[in-house]
Amino acid sequence: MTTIAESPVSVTGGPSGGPPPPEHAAGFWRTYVFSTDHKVIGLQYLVTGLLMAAVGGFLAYVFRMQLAFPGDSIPAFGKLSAQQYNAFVTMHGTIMIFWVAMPVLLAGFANLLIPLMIGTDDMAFPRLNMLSYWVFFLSSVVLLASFLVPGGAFGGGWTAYPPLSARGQSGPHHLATGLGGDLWILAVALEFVAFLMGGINFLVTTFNKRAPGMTWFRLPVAVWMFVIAALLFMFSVGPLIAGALMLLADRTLGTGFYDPAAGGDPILFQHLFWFFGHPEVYVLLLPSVGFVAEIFAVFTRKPIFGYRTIVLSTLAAGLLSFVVWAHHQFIAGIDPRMSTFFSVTTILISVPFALIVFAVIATLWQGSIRFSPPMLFALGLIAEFMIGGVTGIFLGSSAVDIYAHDTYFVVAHFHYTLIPVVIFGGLAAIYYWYPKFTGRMLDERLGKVHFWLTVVFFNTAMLPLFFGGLAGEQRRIFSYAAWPSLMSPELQALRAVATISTVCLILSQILFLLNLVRSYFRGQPAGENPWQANTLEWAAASPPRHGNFSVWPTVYRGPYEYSVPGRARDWWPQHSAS
Amino acid sequence: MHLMPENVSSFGSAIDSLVLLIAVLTGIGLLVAEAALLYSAIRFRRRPGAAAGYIRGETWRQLRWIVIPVAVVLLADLYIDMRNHAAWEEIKGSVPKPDREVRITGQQFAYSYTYPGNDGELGTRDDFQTVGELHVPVGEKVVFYLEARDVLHSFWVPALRLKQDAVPGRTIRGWFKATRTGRYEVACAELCGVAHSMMRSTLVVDSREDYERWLEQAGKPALQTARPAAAGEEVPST
Repeated sequence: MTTIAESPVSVTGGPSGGPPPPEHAAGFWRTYVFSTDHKVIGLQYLVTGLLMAAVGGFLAYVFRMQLAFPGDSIPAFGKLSAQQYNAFVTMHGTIMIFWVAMPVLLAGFANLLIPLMIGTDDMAFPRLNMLSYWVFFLSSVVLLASFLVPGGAFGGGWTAYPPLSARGQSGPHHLATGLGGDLWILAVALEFVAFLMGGINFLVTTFNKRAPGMTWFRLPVAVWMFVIAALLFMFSVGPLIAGALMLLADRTLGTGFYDPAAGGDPILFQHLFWFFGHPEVYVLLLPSVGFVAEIFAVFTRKPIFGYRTIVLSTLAAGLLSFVVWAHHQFIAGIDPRMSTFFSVTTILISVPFALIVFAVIATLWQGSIRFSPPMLFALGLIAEFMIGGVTGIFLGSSAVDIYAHDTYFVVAHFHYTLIPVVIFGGLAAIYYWYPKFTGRMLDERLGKVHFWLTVVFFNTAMLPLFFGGLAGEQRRIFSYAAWPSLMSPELQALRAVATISTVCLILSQILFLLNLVRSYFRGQPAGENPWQANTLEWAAASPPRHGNFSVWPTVYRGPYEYSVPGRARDWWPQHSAS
Repeated sequence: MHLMPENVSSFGSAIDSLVLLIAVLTGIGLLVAEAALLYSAIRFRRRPGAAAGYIRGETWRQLRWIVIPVAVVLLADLYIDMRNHAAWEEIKGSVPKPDREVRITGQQFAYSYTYPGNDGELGTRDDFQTVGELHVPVGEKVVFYLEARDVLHSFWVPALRLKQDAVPGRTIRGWFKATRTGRYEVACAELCGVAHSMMRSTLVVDSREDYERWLEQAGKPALQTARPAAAGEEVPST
């Protein structure tokens, strides 16, 4: 790779000559609400995502209570009906994936970090960026409104398999969610419009607005991950949007894309959904891999081990992720001969991810590790994600999947991938970058207590589900009363442990909220670079001003030059000339 | 303690041994990786005066520390793929010549089972139907034709290690051979509507004699017209 060393290059579309303009005050509305500033938009995404997480968490609380104590009245809710159970499970999945993980990890942090990390003033298209958030906001309103319409929210599962989802309005099919289902599709469609606008911005900005000297292999790993995630999303989302449109047409216009009686085929939707759905898993995973890379380098005081290996492995995994989708359909009635291909690709995708995880672990070697809350959550992410990874091998084996598919083994597996990635990754990033965007440090002791409570209750909430799945417990069941073997005292005890732990896991997050609020007013002032980090965002003020930098940075080296032999300080910022 | 219900099908042991194989291989890998993580984190915690090493991991000398473990992962993957392929072929590769045939129909919220009558052929006038219980003889290869009337269902018999989605518009052929007599739980494993969690059924594996006796009773023409669906198990018409 050719590196552009000491000579700054002019970059099209970047901040052109002259010093950055002086800051000018805008009114309240233009500063905090209809802002085109990437930082405000990033925070808007972040806060909206956290609020939606509270909704998703409450839904989980309600249906977990039903499973542990079937039929009992649930505190702060009341009795749950079977229809509500289906709706809550569906909405929990939908919200946590599309309205928490996506806005927090990708839209939120990519907006906050890309312009700062590549050393520019804002996104390439600031107004499009604002539009992106407000379309997303609208989609959130539409989704929440679906709880209030007659029939309630959509209850056909977050995967929305037809014909159940397609025939929402006709009576005999027992899915009394006419309008709720339509609103669900509309909300998802709006949200994808928002993320497409965001994704375009991430790509164009990173391609065109990098600071002088910021070559591709001097980009922080986090920026690489945002870019690859945006590419995966944009290449995979088309088929899903087509699938959703056909579903909406089947529901409202009486078409029969998924109706065999009209010549359609329900399995078509599954292909369209999972062609998107599997790359989507990596869209969520990659930003957190980026957070881990940034945090590991800073808190071990070492270069991240195998920077290029990590980037190239991620590209390989991204490509592979387009040819694994049918592993969600081994027993869906597809030709059995197809399964071998998808089983092999699925199990092989563990290779690039093993490389990434091992490189991250190798970074610890000979480090000088400081266990601050961001590092604890990043370590926790890797430790827990490995459990999610290896349990995926069971499901990737098509023969084992005959047994495990649609059981709680699957539920446990994907919570062991998504909770580390979304919750641990998101929390690590918030603990790490909070000082940058508020100017104050979070309380470290409170953060550590929060970490240990989260780790313990996450495991006690999710480990029992593996055993339920092995016992044959199928998913999306309101009450197991019909199957005596699944109502055994042992299994019921496991459900109670999982539920009580879920409640404790949710309650533990109150510590985090307290910390966020208290530190905002009373936290230690952070200064520009509290972690002594190299990447460009730490060269800006905390919080960064409108336009980010008071002097345009020029980049002289890679992002992870920590503990370079022969230097007095153990960090060497990217923009520092000597 | 058994983590999985006892297996009563001829091919179930192939799945169970694959579960064990993957558990052992991934279990060892997981333990080693977690131990490496924990050991490195504790050993290299920050101590006054000790500086961090400068290791970029860009040369082969350094990269082999992660490439060799990944090569081991790859070998384990390929071995699992191979064993999986063998198991999958045994179960799904081809449907054997049937000793018995049955048509399984899923609809909200029950399974119904259609058996050939005395002529041994499905789709003829003497077919008869049951709801709630599927009877099969032990030790015989049963070929099923799985259909769905309304939405997706998934025919799920944990003890047989058998799960297969039922898809409207398709007839999906599959098979099993039960190896032990008894009554086993059947469920629907694909969300199919409000009463999805009421969609249960029972597999009754009879000895040869019991099965013949049951067949004679259930297959009687009188019952055939009456359709032996007990009250409360009425299938909603669509």
